Amino acid sequence: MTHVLRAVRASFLRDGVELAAPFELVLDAGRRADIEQPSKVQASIAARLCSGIIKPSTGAVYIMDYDSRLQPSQAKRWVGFVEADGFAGDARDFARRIALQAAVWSVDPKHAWTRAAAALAAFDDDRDAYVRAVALALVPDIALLVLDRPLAGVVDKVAGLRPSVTIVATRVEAFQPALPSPQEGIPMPSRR
Amino acid sequence: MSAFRATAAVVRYQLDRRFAGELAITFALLLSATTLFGSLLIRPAPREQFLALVVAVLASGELQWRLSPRIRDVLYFTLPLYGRQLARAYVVPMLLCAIAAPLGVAGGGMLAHSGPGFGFTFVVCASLAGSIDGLVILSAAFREGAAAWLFRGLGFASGCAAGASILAGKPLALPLAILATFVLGFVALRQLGETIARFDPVP
Repeated sequence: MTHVLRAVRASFLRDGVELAAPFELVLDAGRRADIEQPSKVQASIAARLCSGIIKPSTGAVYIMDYDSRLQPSQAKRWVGFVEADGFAGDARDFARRIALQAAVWSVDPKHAWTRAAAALAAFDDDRDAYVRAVALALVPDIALLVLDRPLAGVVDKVAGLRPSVTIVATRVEAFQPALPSPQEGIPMPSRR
Repeated sequence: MSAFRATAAVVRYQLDRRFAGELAITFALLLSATTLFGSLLIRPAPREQFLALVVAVLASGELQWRLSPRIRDVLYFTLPLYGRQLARAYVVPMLLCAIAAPLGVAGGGMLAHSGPGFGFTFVVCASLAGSIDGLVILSAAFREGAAAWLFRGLGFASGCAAGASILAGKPLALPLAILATFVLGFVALRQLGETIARFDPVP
């Protein structure tokens, strides 16, 4: 059976520093997964690993059974990737980007516009940079959508719009402040 | 998916307003600078145009380097294209940079000397030199620190060497330099494709 995404002890190292710890993940069509990472950079790297944009230093990532290291072009054919910053361009840039996506993924330009408009209509704020990036990622026929640090509610909206698309979202782990235990007591400022 | 169609789409996407603006500014600056100071620095005789060639290659290389962060944009790495396809797509804007700078210098030189001192041969040889420099700079854009500067120096030196051989005015210099440019360009393009294929766009 073909899995949409399969990560086998995939990790990423740069100059000997481990930027993504080895992780395992198997996702079939229509499933969702959240990947939590300690920092924004590590969350972005995990997203890029899952979408085949960067190659794992150890292990492997398979997208629709294509190895992202050996068959990157075939693997990326099935992936939509949304950066954390979204799409910051104006309306003209948006149109140019749709034309690019349509040409590269061999989608009819009119069909591409229809898909982008449908995606934008599903969201409350269609001018938001992240929402527009999601709309662009949904222009081609993709099986996997990778969202780098998505806004609240985006995953649910996309799942409603394209139930068959597998969604991976990366997040930064919530900060847990180290509060003193009741036994230690709360330090009070000294009065002199 | 048609490989040519996809590559052409990436080329079109790169030729945006910012690219056109940078190209026009570089051309205008070179035109005005060589018009004003050309008579002091640049001689119209074919064998004395080496300084003009260096200026043109430096300017096109600088323009190429200023634009190079754009080719590392993660967008291009999300596209289902091979490294060699992206490399071909990056070459077209690079060639425009390599042609714009010599045209600016040649135009300024003509105005400064009130005649066609800088003609077809100069523009062709400076464009060839700028193309070689630009191809190596494209590879430098995917490297950091000393390696990037080494590639920039290598590109500049090989570009100037190819251009200077034409300006030397020896028989068959132009066709030999064109042949050398194609051979060097082919090797540099293959190298660029492999560099892009290996590159990991880490945030």
